[in-house]
Amino acid sequence: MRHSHTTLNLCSRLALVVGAAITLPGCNNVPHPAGQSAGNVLYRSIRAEPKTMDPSESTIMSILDMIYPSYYQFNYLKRNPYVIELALGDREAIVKPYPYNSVADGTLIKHVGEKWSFRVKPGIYFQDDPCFPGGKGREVVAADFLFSLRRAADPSFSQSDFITPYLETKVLGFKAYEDFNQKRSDKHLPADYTRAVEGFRVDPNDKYTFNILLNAPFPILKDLFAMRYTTPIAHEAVEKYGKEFARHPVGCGLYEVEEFARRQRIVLRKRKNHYPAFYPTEGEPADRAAGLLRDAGKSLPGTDKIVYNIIREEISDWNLFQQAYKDGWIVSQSTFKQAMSGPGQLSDAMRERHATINRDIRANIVSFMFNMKDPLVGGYAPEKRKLRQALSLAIDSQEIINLNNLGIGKPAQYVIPPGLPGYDERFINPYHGKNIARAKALLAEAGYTNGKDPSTGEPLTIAWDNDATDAAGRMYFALVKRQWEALGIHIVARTWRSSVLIDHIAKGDYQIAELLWIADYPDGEEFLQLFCSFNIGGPNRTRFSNPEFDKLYDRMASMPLGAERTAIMNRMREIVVEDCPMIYVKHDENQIISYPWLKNAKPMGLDIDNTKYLRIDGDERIAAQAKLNSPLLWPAIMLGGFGLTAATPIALAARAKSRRKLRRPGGAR
Amino acid sequence: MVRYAVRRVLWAIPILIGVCLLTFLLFYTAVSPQQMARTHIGTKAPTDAQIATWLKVHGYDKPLSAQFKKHVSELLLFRFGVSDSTGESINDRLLQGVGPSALVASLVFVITLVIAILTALLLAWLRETAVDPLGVLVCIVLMSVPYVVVIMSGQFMFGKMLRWFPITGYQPGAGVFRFTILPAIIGSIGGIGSAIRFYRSVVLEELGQDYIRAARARGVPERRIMLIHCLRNASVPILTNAV
Repeated sequence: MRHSHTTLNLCSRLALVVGAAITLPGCNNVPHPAGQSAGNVLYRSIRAEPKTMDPSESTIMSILDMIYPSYYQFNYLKRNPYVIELALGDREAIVKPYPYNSVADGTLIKHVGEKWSFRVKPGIYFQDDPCFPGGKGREVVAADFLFSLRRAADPSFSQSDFITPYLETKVLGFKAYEDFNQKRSDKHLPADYTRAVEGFRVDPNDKYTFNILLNAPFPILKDLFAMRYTTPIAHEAVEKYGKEFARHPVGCGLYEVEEFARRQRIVLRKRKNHYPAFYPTEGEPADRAAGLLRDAGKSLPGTDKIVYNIIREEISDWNLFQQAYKDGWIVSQSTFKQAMSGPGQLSDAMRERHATINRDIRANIVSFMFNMKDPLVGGYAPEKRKLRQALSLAIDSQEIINLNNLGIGKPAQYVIPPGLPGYDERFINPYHGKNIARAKALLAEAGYTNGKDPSTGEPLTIAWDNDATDAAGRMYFALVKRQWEALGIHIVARTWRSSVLIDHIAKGDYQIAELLWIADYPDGEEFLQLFCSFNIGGPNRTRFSNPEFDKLYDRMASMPLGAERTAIMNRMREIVVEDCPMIYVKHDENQIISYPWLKNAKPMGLDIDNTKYLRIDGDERIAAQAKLNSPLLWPAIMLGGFGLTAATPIALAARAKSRRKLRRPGGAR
Repeated sequence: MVRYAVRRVLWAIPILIGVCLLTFLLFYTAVSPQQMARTHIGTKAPTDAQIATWLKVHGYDKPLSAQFKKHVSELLLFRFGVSDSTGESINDRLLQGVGPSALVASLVFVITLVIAILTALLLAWLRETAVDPLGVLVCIVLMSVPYVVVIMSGQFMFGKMLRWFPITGYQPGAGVFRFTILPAIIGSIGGIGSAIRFYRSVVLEELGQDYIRAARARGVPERRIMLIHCLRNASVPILTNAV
């Protein structure tokens, strides 16, 4: 009787534990602070914390766009082409010719540059911060823009320099200012932000107006003034925080940093006295039907708070999205099968949740580049050109997209992505698209009949330098190798760590390598510079050199958008297509899944954070979260059953052992 | 004894310097400063001038001997410098991370120790029954499962199916245990198989000792024999292993 009591006790205790587990008070899987999900709070995630929050340093962290706006911004809804509109600017920049002189070898030379006149809207304030007198943010003035631009000449910004090459080649006196700061740096002195720069002038009669003097026409300046690198910066903040300014943003944007928990999250909150900003009232034809104009003309930002959780593992991030604790999801290879039933088509699970998908071609190019200095694949002789053209014709972009990218992406005909000036939807590259017969003919004309190297009689061997160190990378390599080897040639892999591969490419120590180039601003010019000889050692990694191309680039880059510029870009296209320094593979595609409570979601191919336009219906979200995350009883019962099943033989064995001992007189053995 | 201690301390100095030199040189052999610069510089196509500036700002332009001297002297003072990537103080980073890490590690330690000892005692006590080999089999299975599978299964079971704990995140303060219990459970499951096997062996060894037989002969209850007599003597190897 005593023993059955013991078994009963054990079972009842186990049941108690299971019961307590099921009803464990306060146990839930909500990762956010209590009650926050019901508010107009947007949840996003990033894989790593930002290296810096200083807008003057080049960074891909577009979170900064919310804190540091600039004079212009890109229209949220319009594409093909992208449209630039005023943000902090009071009016369009006024551009006038600017005559100036220079002296070379004792001779006076007259030039005509440009004078750009900008005026910032009065009444815009920096966020409140202890760096300002009384802790109250002061008004943004013209000098804050020029202070920001001066910081581009600080040599200590080693992360950076996206905008510096533009300024040093175009702005009058900027190179001299940069050299001055470099000399100070050599003497271990900090950069001098107070020194006058010839090309930067504040209007003495209007503290909101500033002028930038250029040595030549430079229409791209408008694009640059739509980027975070040209945001106004308060000198008080830089002076107070010094190097810590990189971790202590003080901006004049719609949001300010509420919390910056390293390696955990960055929380932005809506500013009370932010600058006036409104949702666009016009968009593309399909936008109204898609509900993207419901908030037309309404005040921005759309959300009260943005939480960027730092989640390194994609699987954890995906689980959060599935549990509705995250509002949108960019479809990736590893989540494609669960999220999608095909390219652009949601899976049943996502459709049941009334999720929607938005697609947009990214403004980038994925290509294979040839080293034009290489004795085998480089050079400009007709047979060298034909060898590259043959290799280009062996590549089947669509197969690569289907097998390696699950059908997501657009085959590329040329280096310029869709939506950017210089892109032509009708253009068909004569050396693009799988055509093995023609490729073999070109290969024979190049001197490699049936892919054989006449000097050895063996298949022509070409090295592909890559960093395909993981299984997915090796599969990708095998796919492309098979396509090239259909010509009878032999492709060998030279696989390196990423940092070593970058080094090899930079030094021109490769034959074929892959290149991904992403647009910073919406102009095909940024892609054409990849072939300019003055960029060899920099962006021109193919080391392609063509004097005519260089001249055309210089002309084109100084012209406003229009038919004449397009004609020059087309001529440049003819040159690079014929010389074939690159095989254009694809333009990536963004596929973004949004839950129904996330309003106004529309992807943009550019690396710009458009979070300010998004809005959240908190009630709808909280209802969905409750539905999707109510504790399931059956796994707990199953777990309890499993525990009981495991406990029973233990209890029986214990009982048997005790009985056996009782039977033995004195317990002696 | 004092001479021995002094000799060991003096020997430690060249060994530490040698280890520092080796790791320092390995660091340079594995990734050159130029390669690091290219990786860290934010621009898409860094120029030679940008790389030179980066090297200068981060002190990689100095002779190797000077860099090594600085490296060792700062290590001796526990000054770990700043991150090349973010410019953040490494000491600060360590201080920020030590709290959550210590909490999770402490929970894993306590949970694993308690459960493993109790299970080992039970298995050892039931050695002559089928429970013991079955228990050992379960332990071997637990030892064979890769840690990443335990993590993913744990997240799936407790976060997605039972919905008891958040899958990811961390918040200090009152709710900290909501975020640390799941990693603690997963960490315990990952290491409990080997712990139980080892503790079981230790307990079995103790159960064969004369003092246990004497205790049984005196009629001491089994529970007292296992939890007091046996466990007290098995504690030395158990704690040595656990700590």
